[in-house]
Amino acid sequence: MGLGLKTFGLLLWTVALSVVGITLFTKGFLLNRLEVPVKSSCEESPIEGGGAGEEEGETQKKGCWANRHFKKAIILIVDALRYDFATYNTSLAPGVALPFQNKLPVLHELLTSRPESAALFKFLADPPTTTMQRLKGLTTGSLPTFIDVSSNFASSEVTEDNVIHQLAGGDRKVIFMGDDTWTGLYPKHFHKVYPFPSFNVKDLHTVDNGVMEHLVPEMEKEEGEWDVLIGHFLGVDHVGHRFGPYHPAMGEKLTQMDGVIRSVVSKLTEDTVLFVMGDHGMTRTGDHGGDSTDEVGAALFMYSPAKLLQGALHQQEDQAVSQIDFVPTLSLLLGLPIPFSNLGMVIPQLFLAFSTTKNQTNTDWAQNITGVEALRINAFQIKKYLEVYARLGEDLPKDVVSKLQKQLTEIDNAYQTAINGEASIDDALAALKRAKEGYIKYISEVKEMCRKVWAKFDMVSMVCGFSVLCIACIASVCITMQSHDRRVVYTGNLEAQLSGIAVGVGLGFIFGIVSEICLTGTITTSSLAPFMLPCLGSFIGYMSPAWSNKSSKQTSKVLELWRTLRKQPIDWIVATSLVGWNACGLGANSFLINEDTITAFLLQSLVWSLLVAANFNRQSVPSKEQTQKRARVEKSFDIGRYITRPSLLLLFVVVVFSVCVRLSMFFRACREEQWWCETPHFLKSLSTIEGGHKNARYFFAAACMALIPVSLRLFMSKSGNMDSVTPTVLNVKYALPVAAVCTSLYWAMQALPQRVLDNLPAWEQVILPRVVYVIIFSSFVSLIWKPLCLLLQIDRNYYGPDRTLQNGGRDSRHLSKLYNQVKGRGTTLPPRNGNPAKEEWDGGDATKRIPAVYGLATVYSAASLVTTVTCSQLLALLLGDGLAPAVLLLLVQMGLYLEFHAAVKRTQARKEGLSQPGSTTVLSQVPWPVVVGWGLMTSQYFFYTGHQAAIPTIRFESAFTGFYGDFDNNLVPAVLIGLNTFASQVLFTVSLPLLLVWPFCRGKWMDKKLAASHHGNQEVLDELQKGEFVLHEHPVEYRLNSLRLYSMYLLFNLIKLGGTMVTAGYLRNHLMVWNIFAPRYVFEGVSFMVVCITMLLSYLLLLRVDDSLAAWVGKLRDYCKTQ
Amino acid sequence: MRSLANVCLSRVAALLSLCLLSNLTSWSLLLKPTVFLRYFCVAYGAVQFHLKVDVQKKNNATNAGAVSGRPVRGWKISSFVKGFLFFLLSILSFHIIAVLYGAPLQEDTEETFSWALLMATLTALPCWCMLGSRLETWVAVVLNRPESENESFLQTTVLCTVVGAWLGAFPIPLDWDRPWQVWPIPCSIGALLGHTVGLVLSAIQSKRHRLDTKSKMV
Repeated sequence: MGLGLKTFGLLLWTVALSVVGITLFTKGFLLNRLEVPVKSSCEESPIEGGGAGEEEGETQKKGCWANRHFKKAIILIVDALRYDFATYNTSLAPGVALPFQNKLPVLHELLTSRPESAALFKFLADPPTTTMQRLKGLTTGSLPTFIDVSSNFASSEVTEDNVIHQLAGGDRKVIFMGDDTWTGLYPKHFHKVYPFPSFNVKDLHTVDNGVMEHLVPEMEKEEGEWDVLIGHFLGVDHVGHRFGPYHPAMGEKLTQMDGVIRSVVSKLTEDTVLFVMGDHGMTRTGDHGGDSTDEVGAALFMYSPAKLLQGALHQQEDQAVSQIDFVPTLSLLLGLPIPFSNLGMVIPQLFLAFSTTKNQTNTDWAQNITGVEALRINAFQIKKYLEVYARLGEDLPKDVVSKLQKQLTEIDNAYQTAINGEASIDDALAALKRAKEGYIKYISEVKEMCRKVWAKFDMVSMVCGFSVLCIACIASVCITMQSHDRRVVYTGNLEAQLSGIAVGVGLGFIFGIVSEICLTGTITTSSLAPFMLPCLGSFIGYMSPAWSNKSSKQTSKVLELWRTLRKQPIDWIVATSLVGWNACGLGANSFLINEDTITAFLLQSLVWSLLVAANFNRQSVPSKEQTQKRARVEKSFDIGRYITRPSLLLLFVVVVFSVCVRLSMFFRACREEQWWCETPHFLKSLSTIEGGHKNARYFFAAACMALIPVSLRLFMSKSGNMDSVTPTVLNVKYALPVAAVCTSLYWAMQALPQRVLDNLPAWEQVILPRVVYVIIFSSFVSLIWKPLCLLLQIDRNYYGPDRTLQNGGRDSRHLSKLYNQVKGRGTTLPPRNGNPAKEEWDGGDATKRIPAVYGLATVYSAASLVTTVTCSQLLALLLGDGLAPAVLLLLVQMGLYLEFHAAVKRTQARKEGLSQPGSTTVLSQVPWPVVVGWGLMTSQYFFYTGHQAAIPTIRFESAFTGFYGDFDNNLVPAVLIGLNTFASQVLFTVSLPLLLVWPFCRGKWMDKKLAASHHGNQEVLDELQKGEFVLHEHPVEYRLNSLRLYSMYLLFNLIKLGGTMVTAGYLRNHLMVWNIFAPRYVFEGVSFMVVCITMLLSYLLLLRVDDSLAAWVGKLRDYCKTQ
Repeated sequence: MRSLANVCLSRVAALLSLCLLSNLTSWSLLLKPTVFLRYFCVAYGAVQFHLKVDVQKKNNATNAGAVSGRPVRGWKISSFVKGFLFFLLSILSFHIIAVLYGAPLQEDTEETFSWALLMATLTALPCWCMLGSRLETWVAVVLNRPESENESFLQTTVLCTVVGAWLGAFPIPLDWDRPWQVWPIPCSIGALLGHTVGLVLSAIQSKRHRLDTKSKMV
């Protein structure tokens, strides 16, 4: 097992530890509510002696628990129908109204012409406002929990008792048409289904046209063919996602909906009730998922040709009902049992109205008694549910439950005496009124209690998860520290540690399982010991070699650590405090809301403090002669010399870097909470932009896109990596530019008007992105297959003299480099065929053909750069045209940062060391502050590629780049959306090796100035000339430094993740936990996973490059020897 | 000659009294930050020119001396103009830095500029009036290990002011809805507080230094 694999093993171990930590914490944090499997039945009424509909002569009106009011129902769900879409403002002129205003006049007409038959309510949904969650709420009447959000696109069957189940159980025929989410939720309950694909947000019409085609014909079928018709329109939601509510398309869509409702209303019979509702609203930008007023406030409209309301509604006030109230209302209106786990309340206005006038009559009594009876059934159903739930689960507070139950009993007793007693009609009515208030109070209090309790957490699991994460943190700190010292390899410490880890995991796992079986008797997925013990065991196994070896030395090591910490320069302190701040700042919701700006601010602070630290002089004054010399120089004021002074150059780089950071802030998306923020121009889709701006933006994006591969090509050909004819080089030369062109063309196509685009055949819409995917894939394959971009030129005359001349400068340089290298190795090699290799190479024969290698000095960085650029091409395609400039900006910023790091590193190395040969590997030691900067840039570009840590800002439309929208599985869209969201994480992690190798070949602009004052050892300077090949000559340092870099980067991410965990766990009962803290944790967790996966892959790629370089050098040496 | 400690303490007194006085008028920092900052900078600038110790006089073996190579003698018109230009340059750089750190680019320019003026008054102006009008000397004194008491005074105050202004930025995003959470008030308060702390610190340092040297001499 090579050193590379050993270090990889350590890295893998830390990653595995943190993944276990995340899993445990998530299991405890995102818990589901208990689902009660009991179903309500028609025969078992919740009230004793109940069972209604026994009144004589009304057999056709007989219902289950109460008399039914209607025989049939039509439920039209208009996805994302916000309340203000449905209201009608008469004072608005048609020209003035916004695209979504006054577009449903039919509702207004019905409300004014038939006030007793129509009602409009504000329909308050529970967050999360995603369609599947809302459908579950709308049918089961239960409150949601956070975990369900993740399964939005993998809807599974609803097993809890629900309206659809009751309908099917009561032999009612349900016909469904529309959004196919329903068929996933209720696969076998419908009599007839017309499902249409829901996922394709770009498709505005398929679902709606499908529903419209079937709706009226189905309605007109004869009696008995259907009892309940459900139609789910998706157009409004899709228009919102695509264009937002302020786009004219919204007006067209709503007008279309108006027509549908009109045609349904005209065909409505007396025994039918019509519901038109939105399952959730939408934000200003047309997204949904959160809990802002706009997202939560949907509309509910009810109408029946017969009398629907018991009293007229005061439409002026926005009367609000909860979304789950729909469930008991529908059930009782149709005479069905209320679903068992329902917590909603029947909408009182539909069942009872106490007249405000004085002359109360018997009819008033008769009307209201049924209404109060409905409330009573509702209350008792909830009581029964609570009883069963309290028996199954222990999470409801016992005292509150018993208090509530007692309260209900009291109300009920009062009610019973009032109706059975001999009181006067006025008193009885007053008692009835009181009973109504009492039932309503009881139901809402139960709902509140459940809402509070069902944000329930498994603290043990959460604490375990967090402690495993802490272990991972400590482990990565230890790995970072130990790889500072190359002795760790030679003393066999690494082997001991790895075997310790392996033994620890094995023993821990066995012990965990055994103890679990001994204690509880079974192994379930919720048992913690099999997870915890291996982690602990492996950590002990990791630490044990260190302790057993020289335990006395350990204490001194801690002291040593403290001493080195104290000696650290200011940038180190600043960086650490920034990391601490970044983690702690996650605890305040206002910091989380403004995290984008704060990250940029912290990054700026870090870079400027790095600049100050680089120029901060800890030594005393420069010597006198230097001073005088400098003074003399400055007397002759030379502007060129003045400007190109090293510190000014550094300042210049930092300023440009800062400007990049500031510019990137124009690409931020807005959170719903950032009310002051305006969605930037770049985040709107190209087809919604009008006029000349459209062209300007498109060509800007295309230019940015073109610049990326072109600059890579220039860069690589300058350093000599483009001369060979390997697949990788061909890829860079031809394939990547083609990919850029395809991407730009694809964007151009997206800018076409919607109708034109929709009429194109499917393959034309997807062909361009697919070509890009193929190119990217082949690029990766070729990179893994042949990662070296080297040209070996054995015969100098091979290319002819002019070619050699053309590459003159680097030719001779690289030549001597390789020559030196082979010579150096040759002395240590065992002689072969009796000829000592030394002799072969030391011959000094000028006529001998000496091999020249192009691009050897940048062999590592070339491979890394190709990876980075290939990834950036893919991500730019997914991010879309508006964000192409952001991707370019990201790369520029990354380059500037690398240059800055390289320059500072070289200066420091020159100033401080480089006295003995081999010390050039110092250059590959990346200091902690630089890694922190890298990490901050990662989060900065998470935000400034148009994302926020909030569910509504996920850009779902990216799943359609290259796919038409009908996915067989959820893997492809998940990967595409994930890549879009965590583009910056992928890019920065992939280019992590650049930090390691950059100082060897770049950042030379500081050298000339320094050479005058700092004379190094000539041998060392020669070694420096070899560039990155030095790394190959010192494999141990190279491995250890890369391990160190990776584990530091991991540590940075771990600290951030730990911060989100602590805040999410600690603030679990905070008002905004589901809105801000929990999504932040989920985003950070997924981002961490993405970082880990990318990191391991890129580490493997690094090993692969090194392996093939070793093989190549070996081959060359063999070849040279045979000469 | 004034002792450094006295200079520091009297500057603190002047700064505090200026801030307190402003509260009596209608242009306090909270009510009209831009007006306050403008008046404050003029007044405190004058105070700084009046209350100062000259770094150059003592010896030549300082950072200031080392960089300039010759002591700056007297006040000439040309050197004053040069110093003033550097002062303006520092205002401009503070303005740019504020924008880079996230201050709005097009709106609130007056506020940003007033803040930049304040920062320049608290950092560049002391350098100007104590070190003379050479930008390099200013930078050298701030960035190098201080060689004399007076240099350490300058370094402490400048760093404290900058750190104070930086820390002042953190309350801005909090949702407390206080009137003072508006840019540039928290950063100005931070800078003023940091400056005061820096002055007090160097006063203490100087006293201790005096005592040390005295005891050594005894």
